[in-house]
Amino acid sequence: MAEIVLENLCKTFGNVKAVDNLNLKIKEKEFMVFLGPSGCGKTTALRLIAGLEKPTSGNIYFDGEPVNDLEPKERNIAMVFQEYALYPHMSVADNMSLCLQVDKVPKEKIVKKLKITAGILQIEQLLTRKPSELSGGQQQRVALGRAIIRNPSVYLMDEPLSNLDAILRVAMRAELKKLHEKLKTTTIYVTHDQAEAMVLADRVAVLKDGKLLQMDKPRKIYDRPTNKFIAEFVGSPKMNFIKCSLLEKNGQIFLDAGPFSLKVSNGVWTTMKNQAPSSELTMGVRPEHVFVHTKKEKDSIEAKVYFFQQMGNVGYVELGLGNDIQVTAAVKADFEKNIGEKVFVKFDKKHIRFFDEVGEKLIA
Amino acid sequence: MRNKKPSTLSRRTKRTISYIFLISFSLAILIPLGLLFMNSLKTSTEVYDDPLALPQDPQWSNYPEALNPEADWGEFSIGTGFKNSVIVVSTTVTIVALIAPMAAYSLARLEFRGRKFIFYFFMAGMFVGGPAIVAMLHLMMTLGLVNTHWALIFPYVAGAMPFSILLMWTYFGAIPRALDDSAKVDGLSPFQTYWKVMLPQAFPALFTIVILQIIWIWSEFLLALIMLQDPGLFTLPLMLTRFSATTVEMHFGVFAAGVFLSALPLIIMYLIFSERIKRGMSMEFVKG
Repeated sequence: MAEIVLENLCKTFGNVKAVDNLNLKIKEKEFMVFLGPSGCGKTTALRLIAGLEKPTSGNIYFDGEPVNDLEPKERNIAMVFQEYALYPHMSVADNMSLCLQVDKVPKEKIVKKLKITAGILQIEQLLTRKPSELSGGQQQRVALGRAIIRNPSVYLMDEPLSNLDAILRVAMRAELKKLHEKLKTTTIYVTHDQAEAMVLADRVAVLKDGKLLQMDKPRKIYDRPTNKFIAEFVGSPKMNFIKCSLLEKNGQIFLDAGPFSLKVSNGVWTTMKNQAPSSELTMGVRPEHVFVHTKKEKDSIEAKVYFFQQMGNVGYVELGLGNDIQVTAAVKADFEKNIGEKVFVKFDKKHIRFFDEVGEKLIA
Repeated sequence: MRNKKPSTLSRRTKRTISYIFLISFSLAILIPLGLLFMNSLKTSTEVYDDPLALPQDPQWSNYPEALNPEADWGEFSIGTGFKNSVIVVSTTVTIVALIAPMAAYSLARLEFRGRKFIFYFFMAGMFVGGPAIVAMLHLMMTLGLVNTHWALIFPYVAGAMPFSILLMWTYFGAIPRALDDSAKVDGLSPFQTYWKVMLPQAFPALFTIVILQIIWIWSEFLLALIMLQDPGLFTLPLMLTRFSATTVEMHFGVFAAGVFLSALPLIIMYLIFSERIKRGMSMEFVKG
């Protein structure tokens, strides 16, 4: 169990800054997820922590001790790779116990540890098989077993579920969570799948272009993304964005989006006044906070149905507000309006977020 | 359905042509081999009377006689040639099997300055042609190695390296990088990573190299002819040529037995390992 601190961590490959001044602290026993799109530097950050890459500058501390110059083995980490990286010519037992064999651990102790680890992952019957004789899910378990057997102070997982099919991925996700509950070992998990991050993480660090954009609890990141990129990346379907301007009419403040305007409460207005660089803003609202009514209600906005996606337990309807604005709303699966029909929309004001015009900063 | 008939017909025609070609080719090899075997069981008189006739009284003793180093065939003994060939081939193949995978591994997976240059330097070795033999003779004379087995072993090793390195390099290059990382995390040293993780995966290529080198070196004649003068050091192809030039008229059956024996290891090896050689060349193991 280790606390990990990254201090001004940078890694460049030629002219490319893969990790750009990363500062963060991963608490002991925490399940931290590095989330971001391809090329955001999350895997490089993980490899730096593992010791598989040397930082260009900056420091990495394990329990307050600098580990920059330590080899992976000396950091007492275990890593699960995206492609599992099992040794194809070795049996499952040898794959799992190679690190112990290298350490010259007595054979009886290795056998005992193998038995316990295989028991945890329910792979006792696979120990004599070769990786090529295993299914994807079984290979994943063996890769996990290889990590667990050495009892490391940190688990590093690089998109370990991305090669599994959708059903197995969901099942393994739950198992990983349970495993972490059981082992209580600091874990850093890299993924581009926001659903995985939401389910697994104690905290999520969102990265883009090598920089840390936001680090918080998954719910907080979903509810209060600090910029438009995070709001778009986390959540499926993504958050709706509508460009609007602040207007003052008869002593009251309104947000004017063109086809509709919304009255702004005094509290929100005060925040906006202090934070917003201009009167031009981007309003963000998640699909589940867009309510669709078949009849006109007070403050509702007229909209036209463009498209309906049936997802089984829920539906998503794309609506046109005026000529230029399009929003997605979550509706019940039995939604019965046809394309082109008229509906009425209301936004859940509590959950509307405001970003500056370019979406770089959350205003309110 | 209409389209199917002509395509079936053309496939049948193609198959017939390929069978005719393959059968002709096989006969072109098997008939001389059969004749050689037949004549190896005859006395010299029988051979000269009718080389195509079956042996009247099979002379199986021709075989032990061909291999007997003590047999009195003047200064040329097929048995000694056999022994010398085994020494030269086994030493060469052992050196190549030890060095080539290590060199290929370094060139394929380790980062160091001049890596590409060294690789292309080795590859250029594949284009070194016949005239280099003169330079090699000169070099061996300078080193005082002419008329020793080392005068064959060193050039054979040098000649085998480019192809062996290329084959192993391709194999090592195809092994996923994650395995190196995994080995590092498991605490393996660079040599342990090579020995325990990488080399076992390249065994099919290594096996192919060994077999191909045995086949090539076993029948190599020109270099042996140039480098060796002492009949006690002659390798089998050289010994057989000299034997035929001096004593073949007296002992044709024994000579035929020697030639047949010299070809036998290669034939057996190819029959047993042809599939593995093909797989090694096509990298099936890595892909699988």
